[in-house]
Amino acid sequence: MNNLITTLAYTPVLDPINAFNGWFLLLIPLAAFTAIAYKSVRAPRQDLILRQSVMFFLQILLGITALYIAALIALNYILPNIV
Amino acid sequence: MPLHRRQMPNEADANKPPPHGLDLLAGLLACLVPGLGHLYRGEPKRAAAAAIGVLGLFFGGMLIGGIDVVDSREDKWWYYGQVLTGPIAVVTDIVHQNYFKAIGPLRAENARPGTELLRSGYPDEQRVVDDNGVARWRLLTSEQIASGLGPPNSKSLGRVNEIGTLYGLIGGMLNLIIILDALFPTLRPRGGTETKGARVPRDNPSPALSAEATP
Repeated sequence: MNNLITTLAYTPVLDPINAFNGWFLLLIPLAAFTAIAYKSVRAPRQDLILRQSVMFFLQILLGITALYIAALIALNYILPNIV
Repeated sequence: MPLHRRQMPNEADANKPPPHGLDLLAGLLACLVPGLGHLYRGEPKRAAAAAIGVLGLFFGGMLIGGIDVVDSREDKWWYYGQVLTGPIAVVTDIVHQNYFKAIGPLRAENARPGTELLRSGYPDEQRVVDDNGVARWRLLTSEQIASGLGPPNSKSLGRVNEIGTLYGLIGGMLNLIIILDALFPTLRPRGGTETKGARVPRDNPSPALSAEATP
């Protein structure tokens, strides 16, 4: 009920969204916009910007996922055995 | 005609390298609006991608964390990064400081009594401008809160505030790269194995390709 009230009271640009549980999903648009902005100047030709942005976006997502898995393994399996 | 600077009217001009070196006007335009420098240089797709990327990050951050993510007083160091987005970040901060904040007592446990500062409002406060034009927070009764009164915006906290602020900061840092690219347009390496390391102008065919195309 509380979440519903917070969502209904949301005014775009003025109020924060109620994404405290799924905040990590906000990294996906962050990666997409970062890839587009970066490749806008790094792509050697203008017609390659879109393709290279998509590739870079996927690389960022794969990197984040790999870091998540590595941290998960380290924190749940490796560190408890060491400490 | 600056916008036509890169438009090649005939085939002979097609292999002509684009202007490079120092382009002050393009750099200045890029500072004003993300992508405008590249549009001036005749690179519309680059300009569109730069604008979508940087403005998407800036407004995305505000959609996530609200206007509170751009704050030169409470998040000074983050703001210095965000301001690289351009005048839009400065205007947003001015609006935030002057139309969404007000003077009120510090409501922390260890706060000295009587301490007042410019801050965002709590859910039980309303922003009121007095006769001298100074905005202050006025405490509301529970009936007034129930009737819908409150501060003009909610303060963002925790992860949502962090992510929103980060969006704006990354947008600003990326815009710095875009400004530098517009300011110092250079010949850059073309990708691929055959011409790896060769310096060829962007958006122009490599000399090898041009030679093949010409009988």
